[in-house]
Amino acid sequence: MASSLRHVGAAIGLLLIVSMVVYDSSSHFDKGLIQVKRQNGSAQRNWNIFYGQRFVYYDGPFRYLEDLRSIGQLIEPRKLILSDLATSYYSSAALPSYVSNIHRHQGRNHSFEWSEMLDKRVACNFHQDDGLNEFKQFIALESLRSREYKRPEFSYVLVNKDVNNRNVRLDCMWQRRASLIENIEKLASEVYDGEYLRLYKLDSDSTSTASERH
Amino acid sequence: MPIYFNLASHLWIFWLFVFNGLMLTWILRRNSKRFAKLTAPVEARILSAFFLSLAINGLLLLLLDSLSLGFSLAQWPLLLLSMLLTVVTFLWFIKAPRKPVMGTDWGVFRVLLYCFIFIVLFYNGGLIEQISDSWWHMSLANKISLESAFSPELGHLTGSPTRYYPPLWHANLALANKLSGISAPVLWNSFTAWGAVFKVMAFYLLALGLSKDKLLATLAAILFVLLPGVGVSYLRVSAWPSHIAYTIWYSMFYVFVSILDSLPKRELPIWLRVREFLIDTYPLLIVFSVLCVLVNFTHLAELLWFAVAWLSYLILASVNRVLSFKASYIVERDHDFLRAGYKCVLLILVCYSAWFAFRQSNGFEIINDPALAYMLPVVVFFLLLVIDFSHVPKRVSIAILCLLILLLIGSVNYTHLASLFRPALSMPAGQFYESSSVAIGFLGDELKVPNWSNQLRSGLLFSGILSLFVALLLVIIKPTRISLMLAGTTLVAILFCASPYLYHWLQAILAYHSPWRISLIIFHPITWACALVSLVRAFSSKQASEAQING
Repeated sequence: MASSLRHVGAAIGLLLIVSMVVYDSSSHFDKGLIQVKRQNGSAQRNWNIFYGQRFVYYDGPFRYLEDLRSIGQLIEPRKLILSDLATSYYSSAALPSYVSNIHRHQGRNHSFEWSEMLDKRVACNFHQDDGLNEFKQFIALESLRSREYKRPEFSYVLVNKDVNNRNVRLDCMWQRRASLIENIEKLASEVYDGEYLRLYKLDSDSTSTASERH
Repeated sequence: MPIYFNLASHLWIFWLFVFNGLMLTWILRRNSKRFAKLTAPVEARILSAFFLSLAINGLLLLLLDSLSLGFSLAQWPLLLLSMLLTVVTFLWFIKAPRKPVMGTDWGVFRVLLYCFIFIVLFYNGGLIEQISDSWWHMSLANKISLESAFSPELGHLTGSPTRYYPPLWHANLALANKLSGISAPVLWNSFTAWGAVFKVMAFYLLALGLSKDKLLATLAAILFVLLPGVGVSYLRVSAWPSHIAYTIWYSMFYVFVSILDSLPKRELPIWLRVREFLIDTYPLLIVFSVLCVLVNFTHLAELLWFAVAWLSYLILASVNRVLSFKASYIVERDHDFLRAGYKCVLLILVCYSAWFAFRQSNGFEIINDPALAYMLPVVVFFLLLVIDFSHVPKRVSIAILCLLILLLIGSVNYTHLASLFRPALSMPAGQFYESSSVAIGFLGDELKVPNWSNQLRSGLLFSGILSLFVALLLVIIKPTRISLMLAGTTLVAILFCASPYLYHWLQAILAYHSPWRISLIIFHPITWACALVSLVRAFSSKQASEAQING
């Protein structure tokens, strides 16, 4: 009798543990969870049997590598690039340059002026005259500041034209890229136009206006 | 997706992060019986290959950096080393093919598990498509590669000087980038499949070291892949430096247990025992030191969690000794070297935390909740020290233990603990993702508590938190090294996360923004594997004995 009871107890124990393992591990086999996470902007850190490289391929920089390689040969090293958040990170992992548009906890707040400019989304408001003027003033002052504080010089604007990358599409610089492209040419000249990326170099007169005034 | 997707990056990864280490491992195995025994499991051999490769590359890059030479020059010494090691291994094989070397210990299930992980992660990829911290690391690797220097002059990302980050893994990535010309994101994405397999192998070794049971360790490795855990179980982020450090960290447990098993018998005089220990186990001590150095230059924090895990084990072993009726049972398990070390550590902790409490609360001018938080560990460590002395009468020890338990239970904030299960009850969150939440103490002051949303809720519910009860049950049934380790680590980690006083103290004394990562020491897949194996064996042994009786 006691032996049977122990048997039953062990069987129940086994069943409970297996049920818990099945419940807790179900997220690895849940196809719908991938879409839920993507819609909520939550990163897919755990493996999922239905996840594929296609997500990485389209929402990552793999397709821009050729463009980034070409840009790397054209730009002056150790200069600062402005781009949307995702492309900034992609550039930083591939180019000999620095970027300004990054997450706060990763050092964006080291420069108050950059942080303020990005918070005000100045580079996203080129369709308004005020936005363009404000950006012009910012470039000129930033040129002074970089010399004074020995910071990398703000020299390039990188526009991502890709329409498939979710991370790029979230950024206002991508959403308003048409007006950015249309207006940036008043301040910068095109250096490279690839399949996905287009690079502008800020004109020397737009960076020197403030210096002359001082 | 074709099978040759990013094939070149996988070949480079094999050469730079495995090949040289593998050859060196074979040579070391032929020359040291101790090392051969340690690396008998195939997992230990592969991990040894990975760690040795990281170390060789790191040393070479350090040399090039100090000579201000470009990292691309590393290809010639590495190529030469590969050729040399291959020739030496080949010649030895030709000369003495039958020289007895410890055989390989491998199992079909484990090999299948590693193949499954590699294939899944190969298809899943490892580049977190959301813009996350991985890009910070890739940026650093890129700048190390471009400037051929461990500490890029202007920092990276924004060009402003940044905080020090242990650079060993970034430098290894930079080397792969420099030599292969393959971009950091592609290497990162490809390495994830390798890193995930290495991590699961290391977890197998951890379970094997503690249990000495291959079935249990295999089951633990399978559960590690299936069950959610705090951060460490995220296999898609296996290329992050922290995860490389976790792999080394798990292996440290395996080697440390081997060192503990080599502690000499107590019959000999102390100086003879020390000499015997050093002569017998110096290869293990060297391996352990190398692993410590690798963790130190990869992520650093795991050295602390390693110490905390073993301290937790020793605390529970000491408590168990107080409650035990059979003193001899404990003596077999706990070596006097360990007990002496434990007492010394506790004494240091009492003194240091007392000094810290005095300094933090300005000589106890005002008694408030933070001051109580700084004092609580002093009292706890002191009481733990007292009960570990054999001269203290058992009744007194039990009374002290009751007081200790009351203190710890009393320090827990139960609303905060309940909010693990019901997010609506959560304490106000901090400003940033990693910031602590705020709880109110007994005297009305603010204390810090972990934000359960920081991987904790998803990692602990339900297998993580339930493993505490199972681990304690395992200790009650049979207080072995593995059950004490599992219960001790789980108990300490959960106590620190549930008690605002302990958590506040931990954050202050470490000056660390994420002390909730103490929950990394909850090894719940091993706990559940233990429970499953015990139940299955209980079941099958009964059936076997019944069959014997009937037969």
